Amino acid sequence: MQLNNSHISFIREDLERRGLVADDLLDELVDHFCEKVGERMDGGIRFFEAYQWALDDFGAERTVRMVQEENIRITQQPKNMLRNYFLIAWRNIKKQKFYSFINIFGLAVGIAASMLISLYVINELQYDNFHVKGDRIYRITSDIHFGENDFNFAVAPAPMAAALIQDFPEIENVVRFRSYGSNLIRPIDENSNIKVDRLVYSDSTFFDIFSFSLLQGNPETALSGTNKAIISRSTAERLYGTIDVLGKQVFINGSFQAEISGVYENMPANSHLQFDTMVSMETLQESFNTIWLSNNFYTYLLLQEGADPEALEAKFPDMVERYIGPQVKQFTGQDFEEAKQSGAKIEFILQPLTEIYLKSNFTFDIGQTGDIQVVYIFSAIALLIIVLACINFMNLSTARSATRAKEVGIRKVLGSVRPHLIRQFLTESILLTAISFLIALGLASLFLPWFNRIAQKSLTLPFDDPAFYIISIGGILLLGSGAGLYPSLFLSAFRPVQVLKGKILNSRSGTPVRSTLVVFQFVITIVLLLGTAAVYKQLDYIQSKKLGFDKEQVLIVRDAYMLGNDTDVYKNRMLASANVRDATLSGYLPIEKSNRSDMSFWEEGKSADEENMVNSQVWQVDHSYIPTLGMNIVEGRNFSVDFPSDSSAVILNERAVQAFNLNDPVGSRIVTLGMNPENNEIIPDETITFTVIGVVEDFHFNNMHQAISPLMFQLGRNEGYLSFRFNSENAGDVITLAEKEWNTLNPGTPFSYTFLSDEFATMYTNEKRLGQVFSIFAGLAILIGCLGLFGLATYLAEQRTKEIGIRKVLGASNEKIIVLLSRDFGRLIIVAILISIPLAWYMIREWLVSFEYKTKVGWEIYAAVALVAMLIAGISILYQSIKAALSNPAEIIRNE
Amino acid sequence: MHDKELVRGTLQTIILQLLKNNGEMYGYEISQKVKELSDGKILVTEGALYPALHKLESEGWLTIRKEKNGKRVRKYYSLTDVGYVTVSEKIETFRAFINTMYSVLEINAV
Repeated sequence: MQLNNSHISFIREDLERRGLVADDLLDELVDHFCEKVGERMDGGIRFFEAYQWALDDFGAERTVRMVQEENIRITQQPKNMLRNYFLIAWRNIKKQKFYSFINIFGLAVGIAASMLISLYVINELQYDNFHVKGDRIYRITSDIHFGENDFNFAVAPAPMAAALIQDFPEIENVVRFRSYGSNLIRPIDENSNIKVDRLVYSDSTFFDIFSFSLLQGNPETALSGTNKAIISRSTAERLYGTIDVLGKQVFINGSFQAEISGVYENMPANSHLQFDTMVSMETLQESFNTIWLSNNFYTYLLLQEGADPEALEAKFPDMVERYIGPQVKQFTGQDFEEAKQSGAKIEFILQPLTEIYLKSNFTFDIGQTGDIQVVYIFSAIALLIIVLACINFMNLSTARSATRAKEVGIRKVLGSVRPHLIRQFLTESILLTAISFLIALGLASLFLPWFNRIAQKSLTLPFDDPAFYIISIGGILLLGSGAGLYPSLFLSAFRPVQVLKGKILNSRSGTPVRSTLVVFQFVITIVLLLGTAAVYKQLDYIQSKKLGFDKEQVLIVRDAYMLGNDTDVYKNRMLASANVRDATLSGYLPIEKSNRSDMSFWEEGKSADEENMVNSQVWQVDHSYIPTLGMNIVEGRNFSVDFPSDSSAVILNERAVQAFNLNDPVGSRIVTLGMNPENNEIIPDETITFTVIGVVEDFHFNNMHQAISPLMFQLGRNEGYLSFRFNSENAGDVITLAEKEWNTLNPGTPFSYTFLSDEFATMYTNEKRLGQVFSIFAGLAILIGCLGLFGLATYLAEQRTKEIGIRKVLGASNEKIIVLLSRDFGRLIIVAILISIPLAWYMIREWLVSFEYKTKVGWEIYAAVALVAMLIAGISILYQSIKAALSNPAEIIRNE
Repeated sequence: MHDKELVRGTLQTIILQLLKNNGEMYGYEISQKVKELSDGKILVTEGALYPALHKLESEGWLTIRKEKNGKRVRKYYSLTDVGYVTVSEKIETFRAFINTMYSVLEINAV
């Protein structure tokens, strides 16, 4: 006779309870007993008696356990042990396809995400590691406080390099870089210029310090002398199509000629120095400047072997006294000592080469910098995600692998069986982890191109690095045994905490450790969600904040100086179009890649000392600047052609008025030192006086991390950019016209343009990227969390079918059942919410602190996220709860 | 030799021979067949059968095939090539042993 399912289940559970816990053997004996009992029942005996007889005939419980011990002893014979464990593990995984799938998928996603992040982090940590003398290379940075101003620069005074080499024998060599933004180059006998964004002037000692390879030319002499230039491989190919270009002549910026004295290999991607062209420093007049009060030159030095950077740094204050002190007196009339006493500070600090990329936080820098904070955050996220995935793994494994009957049975078996169970379970975990790992590799490869796009890198999976395989295998073993350890110990009845508390093991969701894991999982998810919301809110705030100027509909044409005498012609032709409303010529714009220049001023009649000096931005603009950019004059007036005296007039921003302490700004006069425009040298004993004719509303010209500082406009001809305000509907037409006119007037130079709004947006790429990354990982965390929660809920609902059936028979309504099943989880989610809200609030506040201008993350955000979390959990659980609640109680009971 | 020892030594031979003559069989089927062939006399306890089957499998003389049948999983045993060879050896060994015993005991075959 064929036994029905409830008979079979009964036999199975009874055997489990009696100590038959090895899965494979259990199946075989269940089948055996089914046959035996079936035959007996054919003789008319009822099930229970038939089973009782069959068990006795077999040899009772004792024999069952003996068979199991024999079986385990055979399994553990060394020659087949690994294979046996492996086969059973594989079989078990297949047996529970649903849970195995959830486990594997969740873990795979977690591993893949962590893999990608690790690649990124490792890449960020390996900048500048290829320089042979790298551990002896340092950069001079400055920490200056003078008057109202704080400066943190990565640049030093022009004459400092020479003084360093002369005064300090522990310095072996020194090199300076001076960059001037974007440049144009053409071969002498051609008319077309190419744009070179990364051009620097460099001292001849460059190759003695840094390890870059010169493909053509002599590293000793390539940068010595005037008017010599070395170019990168890609620049050479852009200009000539070949790298065999030694000795050729080029014309730079339409203003001077240089001989190509070398071609160097493109600088590797993991170098913070990225130059396309390098011109010999002696070509630059400014490099002979002897003023110590202005800082424009990046200065790197190479220490002697064994020299102590700290000892050297300790000698710098002395150097400051010797060289800068007298110049302070010379230019401001104040004694350096006095200035220091009123709080002035000029300090130079050595920055090791290895720290430059990640730990530079200066107002501007020589190239791209990363951010060590981002590296920390990313590493933390990678770790979190792995932890999340492991938590899921543990939870699910624990839940599904122990039925109540089996738990009872485990407590009965001899010592030899428990190690077997542990080994069995660990094998399963490691196998699952290995499979997940392989899938993760696939996922990572799939998403790598897209990740590279977001992270702006070109990362690859290091398949040819043996270390990769070693770490992977180690990782699989570690992860597999770690994730499988808790469940295996749990399975093998090792529960000291429970025992101490006198608790009885049960598979309800109230198990303390499992509950903690669920809470932890949700805390991570909620915090990530809140973090994402905060970043996006701040981004939104930045985008829509009143800037003090109108960034929309302004076309910026670059390299206007190349138009030479035709600049005004071009401008007027553009203005003639109906689409163009206003135009202005100035290289000073409220975007990052434009001119900045500062000078110190004091109010006429006051003494030029620490207290009264105000350092202010000085922007050279024309009459139409303020209207073109949509700025607001709040007092006084704009520059006007009707007033020739405006040539010595300035317009201050509100912050400057504040800094000068002017009660009635219009009409005030301010004074500064005379300056030689050719080499930016200050002329002592000469002063210039300006009259304030107007005040402009404060506008943002730095990113929102920094406060608006004092700024003034002066009339002057600065030919960096031509900016046009146009009507919105015809952007395309405006660009076309601009290009056409440009090519007519200046065919040799590529037409290059951008929009003010786009440039503005690029100031916040870091934050945007952060927002994207956060949302991706929040999404991932939710995915992994939901998977886990869903699997867990499924399993627990199945477990409680009998209980549910009984409750329904006793009269419980469907709603009550649903509430019952959801209640346990609901409580956990509430706890998670209560923990994560203060945590997230604190972290968000810390991040926003770095912004001078920030949004508020109000309670409605927290409430919304809490709701979302509950929704997510709810959906995961509810489906199962409802399904269980709607099941037919009669069927369930009958099956018992 | 103890009774049990005697049976255990021959149990492997019994199983191998049965599988040779009947092809694939599962545990319960084997125990029933032995009962039938030995006329209901208790020769093989089920408790001894399964360890013997598992040992033979781990030695490589038997191979298994599992068949799912609803909630039950049936495990079928059959001879491997090596096992096939071993059967004849074992039968021969047994025959030789019986003959030797007859000589030693100075009794005739019954």
